[in-house]
Amino acid sequence: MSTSEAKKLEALVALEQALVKVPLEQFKRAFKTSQKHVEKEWAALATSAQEHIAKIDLKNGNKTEALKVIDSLTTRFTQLKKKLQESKEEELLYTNRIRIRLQHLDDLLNVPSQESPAFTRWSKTQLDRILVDYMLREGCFDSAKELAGEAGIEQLVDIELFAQSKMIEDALKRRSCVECLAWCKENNSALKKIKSNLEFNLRMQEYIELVRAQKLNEAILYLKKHLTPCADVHLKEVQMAAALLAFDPQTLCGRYKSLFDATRWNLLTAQFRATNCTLNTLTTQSLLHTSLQAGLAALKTPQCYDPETRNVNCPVCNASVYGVLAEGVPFSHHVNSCLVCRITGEIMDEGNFPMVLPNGYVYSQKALEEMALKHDGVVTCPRTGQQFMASQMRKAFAI
Amino acid sequence: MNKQTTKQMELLSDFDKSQLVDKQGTTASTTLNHIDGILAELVRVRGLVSLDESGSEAALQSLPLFLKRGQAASLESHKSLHSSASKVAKAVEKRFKQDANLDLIWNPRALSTTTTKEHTLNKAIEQHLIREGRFSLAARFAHEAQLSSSSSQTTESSDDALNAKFNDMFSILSHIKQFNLDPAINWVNSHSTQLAHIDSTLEFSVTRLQFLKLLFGVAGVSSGDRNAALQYAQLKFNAFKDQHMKEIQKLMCCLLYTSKINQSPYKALTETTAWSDLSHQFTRDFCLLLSLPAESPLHTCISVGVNALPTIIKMSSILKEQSGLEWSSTGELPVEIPLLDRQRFHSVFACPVSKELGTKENPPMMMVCGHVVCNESLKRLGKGSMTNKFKCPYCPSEGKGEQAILIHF
Repeated sequence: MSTSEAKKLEALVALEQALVKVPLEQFKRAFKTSQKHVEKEWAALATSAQEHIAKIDLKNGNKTEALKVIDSLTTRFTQLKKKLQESKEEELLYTNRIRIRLQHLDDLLNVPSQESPAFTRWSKTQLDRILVDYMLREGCFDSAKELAGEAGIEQLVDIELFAQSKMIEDALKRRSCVECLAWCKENNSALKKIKSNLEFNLRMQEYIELVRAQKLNEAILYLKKHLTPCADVHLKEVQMAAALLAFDPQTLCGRYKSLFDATRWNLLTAQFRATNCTLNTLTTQSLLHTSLQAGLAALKTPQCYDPETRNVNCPVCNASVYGVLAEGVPFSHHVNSCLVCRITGEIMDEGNFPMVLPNGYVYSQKALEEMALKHDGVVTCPRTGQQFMASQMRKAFAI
Repeated sequence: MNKQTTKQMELLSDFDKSQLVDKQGTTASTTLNHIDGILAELVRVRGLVSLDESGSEAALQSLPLFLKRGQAASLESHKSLHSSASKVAKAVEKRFKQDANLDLIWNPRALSTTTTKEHTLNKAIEQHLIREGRFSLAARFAHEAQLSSSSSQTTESSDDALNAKFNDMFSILSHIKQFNLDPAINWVNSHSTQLAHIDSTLEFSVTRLQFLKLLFGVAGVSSGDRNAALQYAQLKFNAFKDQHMKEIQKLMCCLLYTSKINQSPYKALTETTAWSDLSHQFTRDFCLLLSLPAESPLHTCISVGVNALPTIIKMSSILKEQSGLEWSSTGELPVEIPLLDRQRFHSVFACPVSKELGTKENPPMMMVCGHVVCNESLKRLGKGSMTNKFKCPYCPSEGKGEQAILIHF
């Protein structure tokens, strides 16, 4: 493989970092959970056992007490076992997934060339991955699962991640912050690291809903408990929240009216989505959007919009679908000549010269010679229908 | 093996070397075994205590230590797992340290300005799924993405027609996969004139493969029958004598070698790749008859796009720094995106003299010597007059501007 080709493949791998990082983050989280179980919960059980058992004196007839302690320990260790089993299974799922994905990237670096069938296979799988990702983001879960299953790429896509996200988004749509707050608690340290204000915004919303319902006493308690502790960072918002108590939900006062606005819920959903993507090192936009936009720009030429020069194989020339999608993207840029034969679609260069017919139309040497061979030396210009002898064509030198 | 390849191998082998999966297994079994041990011990002590056995006091008092020991052991094994995990995490960070932030180049206005575009995109996906033969999935997606509700009656029926046609294609292809050419033969026979119109050699390719199948048989499906092959050849090959004489001669000659074909010059004829080649040709010509591209346009766009992303990311950050522009809001990309040969669909003519691209207003002109320059350059070379004689900038020959002819690529 040439160095430039290897470099190209390397650049393609660099784009795929989320593929490895997502399951790695998921693994880290599962591992932390199981470590916490062992480090905290188990230790706490041992300490409490010690305390209780120290108090028991069997000779003085504390037998029932002792049995009670043992029974409660049994129940709690059985629970602990179940929790650990679950998180261990999750851990294993993710490490196996990392291995599979690394192998998938390794396959890419080992294709002989971008012209090889191995590369085409890889890029088809990539397209399926991108489509599943898009479907998941659009909420088309059944389609996503079916495609992942049919293409055998369940381990290369993040169905669970988006399913969880969907559940929380749906809750927000129902105007419930509970699920999202639980998620914030789970990811507390990571959220702090990126200085996210998602939790504060959720609390704020719950507070606003209390005021909207005019449960003012509850609102004040809530304000004290959840919002004032954040006053060092969000003093302005806390002040506004407090002032909100003086307004009723139908207020026309701009600032406070906007706090009561229902669209705040949509903003929360969007913020949650973006934060979830950031935490999992996913891009906020689907790779389908990004790469389609790039691909259309790389393919778009002025010829695509001219019926005379349309090419059936060119996506952008498809006026009803891709032509529409490409409207907003820039045209491609070309510095050097590159001639494509209108008959075979092959590149015309030293190995396959561009040949000019007497009418000025150019086709590849290969195409014209093949045509001449089949029709006793007569060639027909497919664009004008004119017929010529093969001997009339001549080489064009377009450097 | 070059540097880049070994680099990736490193990440994979780093992962394997860290023994993360193995250690995970040990940690899990250590932890769960200890808990099982504890549960068993609890049962044992309970038995002792409830029966007032001697030693129940001691057993009860030693329980806390037993619990602690188990905890310490499994914590230890978690620590060792943690060190493996952080090794892997570090290796991953190192491997992907360059920040290819795709969000930076995303322009929300480019593709989803209107709901029609969203709809068009989903439509494109549906068509792609149909093209790939995933019919039920296409229907499910159309339903989930609510494609049918907003599309008009006419487009729906055209979709159904497309669906039916591709259904035919995939059923024929699946038969070809099972080495059955009959449906393919029926199809080419009924589309003979259309195929001839697009200069397709599909009819001959199918006939040729059927002949080879009769002659050599297919491992596990049928055995070779020379007489049947010969009869088939006499019946069919005559129709192709004008265009494929050479190949027919070759096919007939290989009849002489059937028993020891592997030592003959015709060995290549027995290769099974002919079947996948035929599938490809069939797909391509089938699509061509429907005026559809041979490759799924979505696949073309995405693979071009993914290839273009590294360049666009680089360009976008430079553009933003220098002029604060979004790359996608420019009329034309400032740099050329490398394309594979099969991803080039339109001729680009850049005048070698002026470097300008050929357009309708400034078309490419071929001078008497065969060199091509654009019309503007031609005028300039002749000092503004088409009747002035001048020397070609690329060869010694001389000519006049008026002698040049307009050419169409």
